Amino acid sequence: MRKLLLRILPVLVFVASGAVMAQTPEIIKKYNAKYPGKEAAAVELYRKLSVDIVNGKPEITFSTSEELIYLGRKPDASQRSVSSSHFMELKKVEAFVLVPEKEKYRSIPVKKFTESTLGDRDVFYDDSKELNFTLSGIEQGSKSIIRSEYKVNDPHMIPSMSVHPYLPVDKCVFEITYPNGLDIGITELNFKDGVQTSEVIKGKHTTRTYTFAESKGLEHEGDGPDWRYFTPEVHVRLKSYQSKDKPVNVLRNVDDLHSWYCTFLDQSKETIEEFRALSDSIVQGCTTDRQKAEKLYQWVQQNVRYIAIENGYMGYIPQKASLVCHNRYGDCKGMSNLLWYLMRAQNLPAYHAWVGTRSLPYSYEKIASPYVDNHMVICYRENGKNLFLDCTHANLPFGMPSPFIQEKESLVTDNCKSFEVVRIDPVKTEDNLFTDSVWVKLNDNRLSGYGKAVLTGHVRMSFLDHVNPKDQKSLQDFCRDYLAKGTNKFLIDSVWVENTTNSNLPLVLNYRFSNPDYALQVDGETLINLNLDKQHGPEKIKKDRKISVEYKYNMRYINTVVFELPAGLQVKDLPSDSHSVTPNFTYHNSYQRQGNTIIRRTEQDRNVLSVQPADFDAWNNFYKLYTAQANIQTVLIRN
Amino acid sequence: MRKLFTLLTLFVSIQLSAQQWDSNPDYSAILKTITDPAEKCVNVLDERVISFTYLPNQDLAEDLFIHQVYYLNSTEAIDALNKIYIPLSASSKLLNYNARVISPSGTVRVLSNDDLKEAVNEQGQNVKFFAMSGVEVGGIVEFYYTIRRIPNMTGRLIVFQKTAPTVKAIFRLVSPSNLVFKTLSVNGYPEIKADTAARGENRVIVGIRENIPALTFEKFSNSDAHAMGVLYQLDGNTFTGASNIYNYTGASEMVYKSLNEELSKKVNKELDKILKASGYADARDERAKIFAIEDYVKRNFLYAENVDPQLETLEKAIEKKTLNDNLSTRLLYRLYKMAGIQTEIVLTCDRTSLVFDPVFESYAFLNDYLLYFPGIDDYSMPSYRYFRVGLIPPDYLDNHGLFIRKVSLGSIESGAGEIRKIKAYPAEHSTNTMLVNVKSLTPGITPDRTSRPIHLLKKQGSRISTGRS
Repeated sequence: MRKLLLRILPVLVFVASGAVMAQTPEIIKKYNAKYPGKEAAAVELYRKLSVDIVNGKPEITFSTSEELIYLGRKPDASQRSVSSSHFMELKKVEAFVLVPEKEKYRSIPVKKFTESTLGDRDVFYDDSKELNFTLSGIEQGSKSIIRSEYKVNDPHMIPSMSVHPYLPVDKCVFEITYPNGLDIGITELNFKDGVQTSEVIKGKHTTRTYTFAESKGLEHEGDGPDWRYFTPEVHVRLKSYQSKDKPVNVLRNVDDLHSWYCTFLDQSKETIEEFRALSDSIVQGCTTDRQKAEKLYQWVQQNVRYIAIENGYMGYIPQKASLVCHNRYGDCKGMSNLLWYLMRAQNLPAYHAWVGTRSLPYSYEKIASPYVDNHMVICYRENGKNLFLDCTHANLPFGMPSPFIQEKESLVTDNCKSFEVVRIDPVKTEDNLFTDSVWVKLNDNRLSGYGKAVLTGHVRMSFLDHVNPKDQKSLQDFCRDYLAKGTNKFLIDSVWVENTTNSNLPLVLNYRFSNPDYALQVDGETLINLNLDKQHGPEKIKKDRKISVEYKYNMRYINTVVFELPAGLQVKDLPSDSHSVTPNFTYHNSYQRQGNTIIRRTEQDRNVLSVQPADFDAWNNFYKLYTAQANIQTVLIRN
Repeated sequence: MRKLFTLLTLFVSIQLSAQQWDSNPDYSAILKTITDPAEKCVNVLDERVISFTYLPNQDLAEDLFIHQVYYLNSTEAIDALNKIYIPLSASSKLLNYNARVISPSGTVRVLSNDDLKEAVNEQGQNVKFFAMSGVEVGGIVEFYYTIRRIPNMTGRLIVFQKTAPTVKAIFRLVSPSNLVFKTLSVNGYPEIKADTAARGENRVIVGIRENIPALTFEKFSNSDAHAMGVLYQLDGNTFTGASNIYNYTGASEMVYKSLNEELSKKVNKELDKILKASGYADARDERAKIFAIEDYVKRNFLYAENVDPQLETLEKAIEKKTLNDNLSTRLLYRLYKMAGIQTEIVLTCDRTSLVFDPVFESYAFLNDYLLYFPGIDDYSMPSYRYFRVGLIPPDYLDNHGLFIRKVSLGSIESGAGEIRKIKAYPAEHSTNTMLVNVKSLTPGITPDRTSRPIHLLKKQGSRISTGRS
């Protein structure tokens, strides 16, 4: 997966510092009143983009400036860094702290900058650089100022500009300067009221300025979407320009983006013939296209390891398929490229497909720039249906997209002759199944029994991502939580797994368990809660939550408990059934008496990847119903 | 500790022993000895050779040769070992390296020179790294490299036991004949002895252990501290007749001297200002005074990781209000001294990774500072910003430490060390008390303190439901 080119947002970590100093200067009082509880605020954030055409070539510079004031008693923000890359070449950086002294500020400039190039171990090798430095002297009332200037080395890679989502910001200004009449595209995202826009023509240049109203900064909320989904942003694209002798198209639309991407595919071109022998050997014995496609996909999944190499344009050029095959490692582009050649060697309809993960909210139509995507998969067409194959995920079943690209747009190219933007449908709820059935009995207040859990689709994948089923100890430890029944006295006696290797078969977990002291004995009656599973229900959403709650995949959960009545006891009163059906969630809970058993069956579907604030009330109503049902006791009396 | 000691330089010359591997590798016999065929990863060979050698300019260098052979029997093992990182500090360099992959069918693929990448990590250290190409399940990854570094003869631990089982581990130390090294084998690694097979003038000591089981993580255990390994350090020099070179008497004197260095008038004045600002004079007793000083410093100074070493003086720290591990100890120690609070300096190590041996004297155990206050029989840890006297991180309790106190002989004062146990806090020191207010959600029923909750539920009727609102 390719990283975004530049982290514009400063990484700021503040630790809560407790009470404010007794003698708080006026400015701190003012900010504390305006942004209560905040550790710092931006006095001003300023981003300036300048696009020019000099001697028929684009010259693009980008500069940022931030002035922060520290409001907490002991701000913990001394370690900072400035990022750059091959495409965003850092030309100048300046940082200093202003420490309040009587009526004025004393300046402490940063003199020592240390460059690091090995920051992110998720990416094996890339060209990103961090210039690290320490801001000395930060205390309550101090200010820090960081200014940096970049040269943008490729006109396709103009950085976006965004307001900081979490920091209170007094003033934020974006400025875009370009020659009058230059063909540029400006896209404004997540704009709310209070943005002042102006456009001034001065001589041969136009300057467009956005001034954002004061923002209080959001609180971090867990399980939410990426900040890009709700933060005001401006994307600038150079659509085309006039070189010395001819017009040059850069990113007018998706066609241009596709053409540019195809120059990268061209650079890794090989002959399909080179892969025929290997491909033939893999599909040996397969009789249908489906079988062949599946075999080839699984071969790459199992034999090539994911190692990301994103050095300069290598973040865009797929590695040659032969090299990936030789090395037995590659990144998403390299692995997809190898699968493409192996599939095409069997004349299977495979297509390179660029896609943005769910952390990127952009659409090709609106932005048409490399910011829209950060990943590559293979699109396989079967009976007019698009199946997205992501080899980077070893446990992903054939034909299912990775969870993190569901509901996203994909740019699918037909060998660079044509392209199509295709929406990736999420995996259906019924295909991500978790069926857990247990047969239990009660002996001397000890609940014991055996269970069988069947996992398919993303549920299966997720389980195998967390535990190696061959490692019995870790399997048992993991299942103690994953399959927990009743109270925390739950003990899993044994667990064994079926169908671990073929990702298209359901994974089956067989287990035996016990739970002592489970039922309550009250005045000759036995109370037992037959909702044994407390792991897989919905969670309550806080009333004041501002952003959506994100789930990785849709899921159907079916839990059946077959409870054998102990000798001499009978049911006094069988709890009643309950049902709830909403577009996002359905829930059915039923009790049934059958012979000397009680069968409790729960079925719940979560048909949503993103629960929006408008749906929070309905969700919480469902949560209430679920918890009420989950706590109902079944009462048993003597015959 | 490393920062406080200058390196010892000795003037004898030895030759670096050349290391190489078998050009036709055949590990089939060793692989047959693997008892568990489902083992995900096996460290077939873990060889470490430490060679001390004199350079032409007579400086001493330490070369660490690492030779590893791994049998990879799972994709997880491949993911863990198909990228090899060689950490290098600013003062160390890579002398040689090589890597190869042996497929299950025996095909050998040697790393190409172009595959070596270079980068700098956040600590400013150079890192050289490469990806192993062609790794398959059931294959072997083999690599070696030699790093030349400034010698550390005050004590270094080499750990052999890891999460994969090891078929054969070799520790070998080569030194000029006059340099005598002592070793401590920990957690069951065999005793290191003179290599009787060694030829030439160098002194060679060796310890081989076969079949080291995997180090498994168990709940509530400090797995790393239980790993087999070898601690080595210089003990004597037969040329000079010096023996027991790195002992705690010398360390105590050196540390004491370093922390009690003479300060300029300006710094003393600043310290006095800090003391006054802390309000310690008004504190009711010694503990409160210690707390007031520590609390003031930890609340009003920044703690930074990457302070420019040139700025590592109390004067600069006070001016910039920025501390690191060393400076925080220096500052607080001097403040307590100025305040007349009796303080002992304690050097110890994190018990989750290393158990302080009370008998074997080694600077390898002297990693972190605590301050001990005899007047209240308690500790503080200057480098941990969120801890105060009476509570230090649990990783530093229940381990031994070198306690350095002031001794005076006439007008001369120095530090005297003693190994003592840093006692763990008693159970009542760390409590979790919950005050739970219980309210009945059932209409008409009020909580009855004399009855059990279950009786309340029973009174309501036959079906019991909780969680209603």
